[in-house]
Amino acid sequence: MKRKVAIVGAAQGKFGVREDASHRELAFEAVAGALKDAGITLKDVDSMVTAVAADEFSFALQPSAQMHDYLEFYPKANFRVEGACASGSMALRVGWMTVASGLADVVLVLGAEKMTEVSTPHATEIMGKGGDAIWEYPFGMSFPGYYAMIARAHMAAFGTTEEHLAMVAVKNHFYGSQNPLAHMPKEITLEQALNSFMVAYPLKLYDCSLITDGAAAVILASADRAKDFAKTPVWIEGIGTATDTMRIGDREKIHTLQATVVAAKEAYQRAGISPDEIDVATVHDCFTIAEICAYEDLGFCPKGEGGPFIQDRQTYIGGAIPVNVDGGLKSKGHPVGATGVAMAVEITKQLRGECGTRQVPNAEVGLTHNVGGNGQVVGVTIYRKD
Amino acid sequence: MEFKNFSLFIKHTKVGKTFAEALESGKVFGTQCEKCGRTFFPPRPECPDCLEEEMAYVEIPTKGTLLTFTAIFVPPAHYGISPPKMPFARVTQTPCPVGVVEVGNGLRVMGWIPDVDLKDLKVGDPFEVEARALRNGQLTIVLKPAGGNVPK
Repeated sequence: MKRKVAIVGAAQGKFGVREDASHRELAFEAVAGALKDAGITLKDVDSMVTAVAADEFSFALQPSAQMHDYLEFYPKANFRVEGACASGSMALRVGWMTVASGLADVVLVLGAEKMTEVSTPHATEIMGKGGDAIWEYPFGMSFPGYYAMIARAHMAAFGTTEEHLAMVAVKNHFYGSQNPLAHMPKEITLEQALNSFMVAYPLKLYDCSLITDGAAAVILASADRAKDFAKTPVWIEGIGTATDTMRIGDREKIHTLQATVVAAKEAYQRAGISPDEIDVATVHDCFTIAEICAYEDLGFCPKGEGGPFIQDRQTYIGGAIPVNVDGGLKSKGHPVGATGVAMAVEITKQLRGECGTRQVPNAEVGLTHNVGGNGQVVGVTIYRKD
Repeated sequence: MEFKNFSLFIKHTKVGKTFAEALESGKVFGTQCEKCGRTFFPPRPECPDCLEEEMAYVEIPTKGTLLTFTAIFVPPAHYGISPPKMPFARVTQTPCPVGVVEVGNGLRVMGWIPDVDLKDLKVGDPFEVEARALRNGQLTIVLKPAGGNVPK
């Protein structure tokens, strides 16, 4: 790419069941936070990209127009980017392209989702159709159902256990309890996780991420402008994006998210680094098994060893590679369209050293990994401290 | 029979009517490209390799192995049960397992696994694929453990 791109402002609003706020009000919180973080106003922003995953949640055909209207950003460019639960990372990619190509110097990337306006069974239906609505939903498939199939295949191939899955939940709730912006900032025990009710066999309540309202925003700037803002820039070093089959059954190996493998390879190559150089990562733990697959498919540990990797606490701070020390989707919450942007916010703050008790010491290189659907589209991004 | 009897929502597809009528008569249809011979399940009316719509309907192989499975205890709105009218009462549902079976030609088929205890299912077990017309008019695909000594 022609120009280097930095994150110069980043903010996440409070995640949770936000009965106090509408979709656009949630977005405003995040955008105002990111602008203040950068020390600018919207007048300084050239262009905008908005991630929202599902119209069915937002009761709107063009939710992005709600956002630029409410922010009074018109008449400058804004449109929506969609990649299911990876919408945020796809918007980040479009924002990065906009700056790298020279089309604009300062770009706002917003992700926002309001999921709790609909009932839980309805939300389960909306997410269930994130699989193949024609060929899989007729079998009653829910989103946890797809990952349950991944879990069952992983267990059969590698001996991964329900305890391994629960250990991921315990870790993410441990760090989430230290994140005031998390949806469910409380610690849980292994027994609680193992004894929680079944959602989609073998995944139980605490194996599943949360149905969350929330928003996050980052400000991107070109290299020649990156020093004009309040905070030290964090550089986007490499972006990788890849896709996979719609239907989970069509994958050669159901226990592997091949789109993660391919996107990660591209991102590592662009950044010129290897997995062992990553100091801190946020990975897509929409379900505990997804985090275990991510360890392997991102190259943090060999394929099949994700279970022992969490058992050995290698993804805690002090381990080989701290993962989801913001609580992850599991405890921080998963407002689907906002998630990818919120991951970029977390890594930006980690590389600036702003994360308090859950700060990874001396973190210089970070990674975000964001999965759309059950692996149909994946974004991996690598960041470096200035 | 319409494709909607299978898909719940979708009526309009090039392959739907033939597929649905085959299910009704107890057959699971895929398609095969008449130029290159590649077979597809789910059926599709065009070959992405040849970019042609010269396809024949073929019965897919029915014998295979179970690749993975689950059972959905918290179902989407469509598959759930209504709250009971009796105050303070609770109704629970025992979901039917769902799985994916690999049959010949690398084809993978999703289907219901009725009349089998979830605890008795194992990845790698030999399975058979069967078309099924349900009493309510719905058409679907069922996966059965091969050998068949499963109580009905």
